[in-house]
Order: sequence, then structure tokens, then C-alpha cells
Amino acid sequence: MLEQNTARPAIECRNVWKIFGNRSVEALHAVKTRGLSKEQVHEEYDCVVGVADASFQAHEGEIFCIMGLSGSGKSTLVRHINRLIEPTSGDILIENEDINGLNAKDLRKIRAEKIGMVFQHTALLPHLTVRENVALGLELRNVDEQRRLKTADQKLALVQLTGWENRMPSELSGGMQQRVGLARAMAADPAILLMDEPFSALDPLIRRQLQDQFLALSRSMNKTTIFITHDLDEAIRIGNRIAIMKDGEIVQIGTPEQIITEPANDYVAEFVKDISRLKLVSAHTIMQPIEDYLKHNKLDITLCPTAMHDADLDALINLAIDHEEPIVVLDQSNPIGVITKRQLLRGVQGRNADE
Amino acid sequence: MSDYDIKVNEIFNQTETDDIKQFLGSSQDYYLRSFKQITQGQKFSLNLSAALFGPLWAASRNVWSLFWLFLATDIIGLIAIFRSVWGQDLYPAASLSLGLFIFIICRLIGSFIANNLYYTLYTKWRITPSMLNGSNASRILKGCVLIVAIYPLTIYQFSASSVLKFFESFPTNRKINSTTADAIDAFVDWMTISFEDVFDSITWAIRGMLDFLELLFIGTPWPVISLLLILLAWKAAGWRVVGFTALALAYLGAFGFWDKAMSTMALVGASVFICLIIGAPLGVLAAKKPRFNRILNPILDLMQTMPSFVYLIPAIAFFSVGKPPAVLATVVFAMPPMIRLTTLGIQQVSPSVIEAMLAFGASPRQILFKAELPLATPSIMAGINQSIMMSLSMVVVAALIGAGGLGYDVLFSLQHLEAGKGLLSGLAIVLCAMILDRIIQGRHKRK
Repeated sequence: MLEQNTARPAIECRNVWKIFGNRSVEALHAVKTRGLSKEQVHEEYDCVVGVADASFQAHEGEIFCIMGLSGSGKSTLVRHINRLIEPTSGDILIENEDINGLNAKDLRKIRAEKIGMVFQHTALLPHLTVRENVALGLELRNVDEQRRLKTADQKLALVQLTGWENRMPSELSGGMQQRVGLARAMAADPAILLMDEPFSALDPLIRRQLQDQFLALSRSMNKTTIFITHDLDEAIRIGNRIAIMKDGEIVQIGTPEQIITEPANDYVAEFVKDISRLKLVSAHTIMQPIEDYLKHNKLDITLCPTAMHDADLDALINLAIDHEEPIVVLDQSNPIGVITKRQLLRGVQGRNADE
Repeated sequence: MSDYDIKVNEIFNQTETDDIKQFLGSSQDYYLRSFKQITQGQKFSLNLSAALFGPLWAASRNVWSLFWLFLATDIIGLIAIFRSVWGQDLYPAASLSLGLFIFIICRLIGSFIANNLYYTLYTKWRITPSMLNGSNASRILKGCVLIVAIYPLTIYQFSASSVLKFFESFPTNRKINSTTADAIDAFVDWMTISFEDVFDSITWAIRGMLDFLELLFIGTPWPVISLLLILLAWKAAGWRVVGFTALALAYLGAFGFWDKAMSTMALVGASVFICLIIGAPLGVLAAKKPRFNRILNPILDLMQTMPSFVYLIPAIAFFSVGKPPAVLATVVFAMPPMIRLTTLGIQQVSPSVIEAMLAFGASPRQILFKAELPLATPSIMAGINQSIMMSLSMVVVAALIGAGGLGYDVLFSLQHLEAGKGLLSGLAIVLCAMILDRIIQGRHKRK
């Protein structure tokens, strides 16, 4: 993950604003010069602010989650990436190409070849079979029939739907339909996947299954994915990084651990309050530097259990159960920190060890 | 605080009482008590001012339903009274007492329900306070104006012996109608002469299509046509419809309607084909362009409500008599449902499907042909079905200008008062319609 952060951005949004309404340009000007609030914009201009000054970069191969409640503008934002919605102002770059500068033909080409999309309500064509649905993107690009159907079968095998090719979408369960949607998005082998709450309409068990399946798939495929969800648990399970949106603004961008341990404001803090920290918080976040510890205590390092700096709380608890001594944290082979039982338990609670 | 105030407070709390007072304006004490009685379940109470002032009370209190009721009964009663006064009736005394009876009884009934209606108005006002506007005085003025405008003239017209000429019928100038009609005639004449070539070529094209269809239907031996129809029925709708089709065809053959039925089918086929190739694109356009839809809608309303006979006149003017003008008149009559149902079908395609198509790089053309039209097919098929039914209902009318076929038989029996023959050929038309309907509907339902 760390090395991916230095990779070049596959998708970049720069100061994207989207204001809905007939007087959106005036309204945007008013917001920028007079600093109107969203309510004032609605009253004065009868316009609705969908996305407000959103900027982010998603790196190649990364799963970038955008998390927010309904109405927070996350679906609006993701539709800017394939220009289903055009911004009132701001730039969207796909591999350093400004997508808003494209003409209609080039835009269709980039949508067909570079960006796949999965929708919350599947949006499969009800009059086509599963196989034809998956082959749809290729059909639109006039790929010959034999090749596109063969590709469709391969993609269906990837999502474990072999044997269902000739069924109609209405014959499939919700989870299966969503897998067809995923296969359809991947049919053209796009570099970018946009997933708009793909699992939100499914029941929890199936959702979990699909999340696992999707994670396994995406590890093997290395596609840049923008994943929209209103469920922080899902965002944490799936995302390499998470952007949290509220009222059209991006409130915080960070890795799951950063979001959990350093929430940017009360809103995010409220969200992460109930999230289990066991698998997210690592040793170096809760440890005390070894020099500080040695100032006040004596320690025979040879007797202590050791853990790597990126071990999670779950692993640390396992160590602590079997040993009386504090845990020594290693960076490669050098001891860099110490975790006492107090620090460990406070870490699980998400509170400071000095409290 | 008086005695009844305490009782009122048991029913309505203070804010509610304030609300009612705001609603009432004047005579608060009386109506507060009356509302209280209504909420306690008392059905009727006599409102004296309503009985005395009738419509004026209703106007001032905004109870307009009662206003019109008072107005109507007042006028009926007063007419009877005035007729006896002016000596219009054989038995003046009887008519006078009848008039008085109606007037008084209706006023009484009205004032017995007045408070209940007023209370209903209050409950509505509590939900949407904006429904009442204007001052009390302005409402009374409105009521007075209406009464002055309606009462004297109406009563005078019905009861006086010599009626004012001006009010007897709507003042009209016969010339307006005739000059306008003449102008339209002149326009039609001009069109007929200047665009003769255009009309001739349309006639020629339709005649060609009709000739081909008639050749196909009548020229093909009857067993082949029957077999094909039965096969179609079996494929589309199953055994029951096959049985029905076979019986219907047997009827057409046995009673000697075969050739005429086939000729009618050719006419209907040609009309529906033209409806489809013109109506479906118009329907798609209307679905895509709301502004075009707004212009098209009243035209379609006009086409559907205009009596179908009216279409025959321009058809004859432009295309003379015979089958081609009959086809065109039928097309005008049968096209609106085709257009409407196509528009509906396209509009009903889920926006998320369109969005998905866009996201996969579809062009507008691809969206239309690969998503919208296939998904609108059931609706378009319903449109075709409607067009067929309307064409068949036009068959008799079109026979007036020489369309021939089964319609001609019905027309002939009408002119010669042959009820039996008319009924039989009418039944033949019904059977043609049912065969087509069952086959198309069957396809529909199976999908």
C-alpha cells in the first residue's frame, strides 16, 4: 500500500463543483465570492449544491472508497469520472487526460474501453440473456459476435456464474444479478472500475460474500477502483484509502487506520466510534517509544515477546495473553517501541494510554 | 367567563379556540357553540341568518357549495311565484303555493346543514389555511354580483309573457360561419389544384400497396390463408385461440363474406402499416422532445375526438372517392393511439438502464435501437392492436366513400332496411377484429 501511494494518479479530480439548477453558474460565483451556505444558495438561486470543491487522486491499482450518507454527493461525484454528469467547474483527469475536453466520439471510446461501471440497481437489460448483457459493452463497440460471447463467458466464469449464461436477468437472485453487473463492467478489460453502491441493496450475508469475492478478484486484476458506499464497515473492508463525504464536501481522505485513529472532525469521529479496531490499528500507533519507556522502567528485552511494527491489535492481544512482560515492537530487527497491557487495552478502546 | 365558555373549553383547548375565532371573524360566540355541538355529535341545527339571507350568508362565510344550492332552489321557487303573479299559469294559486313551498323548504334544509358545512370548511382550513383569502366584505360583494347577474334575467325569461328578443338565443351573425366555411372551401380547392401531383402520387402509392395486399389475401387460395392464420394463432396464443380462429373463418366462408373480409383485411393492413411507419417515429420524437410532445398532444386530442365522418370530406376533396382516400381517413383516425403508446413505452424505460448504456459508451442511436425500442415493444404492440381495432371500426364509415369490403354490406343493408343481412355482416366485422386482437394479445401475454 505504501508503495502504491507514490504511483502516478490514474484518476484525479481537481476542485470539482457541481451545482444543480438553472442558475448554477451564478450560484457558483456567489458561493466563491460571497461564501454562501448551501441553504442560502437554495433560497437565493433555487439551486442545489451536489458536490462542493472536491479534490482527490486515486492511484493506479488502488481501491479508493468514497463513503457518505445518502445525499452527501458521492454518487454525483463518481458520475463526473465518466462524465455522466458534467461539473459546474473543476477538472477531472483520467491518466492525465482532461475528460471534459473530449468530443462525443472520444468520450464514448473512453467510456467503452477504459471505464467500467457497476450500478446499485444492476441496470441490466431485461430483454437480453445474461451472456448478452455481459457482452453489451463489446457489442456497442462492434466486436464480432463470436469473440464477444467468448469474452462474456470468460468474465462470467470469473464471477462464478458459469452455467447461467442463457438465463434472463429476472431469473437470477439479486446477488447473482450484481455479479453479472460486475462481469459486464469487466468485459472490456477497463483500467478503471466505478462501483456505485454495488452491494448496498443486498442482504448482509450475500453482501459479505460478494465483498470477499470482489476483493479476491481485484487483487488479481489490479484495476483502479472507485468504490461508493454508505457503509463505513464496507469501506474499511474494501478500500485502500477512504474519502468521507458530507453535504457534497470531502471531509477527510486517508487509509482506514488514519480514519479510525485520527478522525478529522467530530462528524468522522461519530462515524468511526463503533468500528472494531482489532484489525485496523497497528502496533506503531499505540506503542510508546522504547527510549521513553526505558527512562522510567527496566526491561530485559530477551524475555519479552516481540511483534513487528505493523502487527494489528488482534495479534498483539494474542501475544499479551501468553506473556506477563510488555511487548517489544521491532522495526525489521531493531526494537523501537514498547506496548504495555495498559496501552494495549486503551488502544482497543481507542483512548489515550494516559487517561 | 360565562357558563357556555367553560363548556366550550372542555371541547376545544385555548389554541384551538383561538384558531376557530381567527377562522370565524364575526359572530364568534354563536359558531363556537355550534361547532362544539357538532363535535359532540349533534347532527343538525338551524342557522337563522342562513335561512334569512340564503346565498348571501353562504357567500360571506365562503361556503360556496351551499351558495350555488341556495341559488338554484331560490330561482326555481321564485320562477313559480312570478309566473303566478304575471298570470302565466292556468292555476295561479297552485303555482304560487308550490313556489313558496319550494323556496321556504329549500331555505330551511339549507340552513339546517349550513353549520355542518361551515364546520367542514373549518377542518379543511386548518390543514391548508391558504385556501381562504379575501375579506368578508369582498366575498359578500362577489355574492351580490353573482346574484344580480343571474337572478333577474333568468326569472324574467322563464316567467314573463313577452320575452326580450335579445336574450332568447345567443346573438349570432350567420355570416361568420358561412364566410369562414367558404374560406376553408377556397383553401381546399386551391390545395387540390396546386398540389394535384402530390395527391395523385400518394393515391397511386396507396393504391399500389392495397392492390398488392388484396392480391395477397384474395388471390391466395382460401385453404392456404386459413392454414396460415391458424398456424399464426397457434404459435402466438395457443389452442383456445386456434379453435376460435377456425370457427370464425368458417363463419366468414360459409356466409359468403370471405372475399369481402379479405378486402377489408387488406384495407386495415394498409392503414395500420402506414400508422406504424408514421406513428412510431413521431412517438419516439415526442418521447425525446418534450416541447414537440406539448405541440403534438392537442393535435392528437383533436384527431381522436373529431367525429370520424369529418375526415371523409377532405379525403374526398384531395383524393376523390375510392379506397385510397378511405385508407387515409382511416389512418388519421387510427394513428393517435399508435403515437401515444410508443411515446409511453419509450418514456417508461428506466433511466438507470439508459445511464448504464451511456456508461458503456453507447451512442444515442444505439440507446434507441438496443435499449429503448426493444423495451418499449410491448407498449408499441398495444399501439398496433389499438390501431387495428380503430381501423376496423372505421370500415363502415369509410364504405361511404367507396372503400367496399364488409363495410359496404352493412351500409347497403342500412339503406335497404335489411336487418338480418346487416347483422350478419356486422358480425363478420366483429369476428375479423377478434381474430386479429386475440392473435396480437396472445403474443403480448406470453411475453
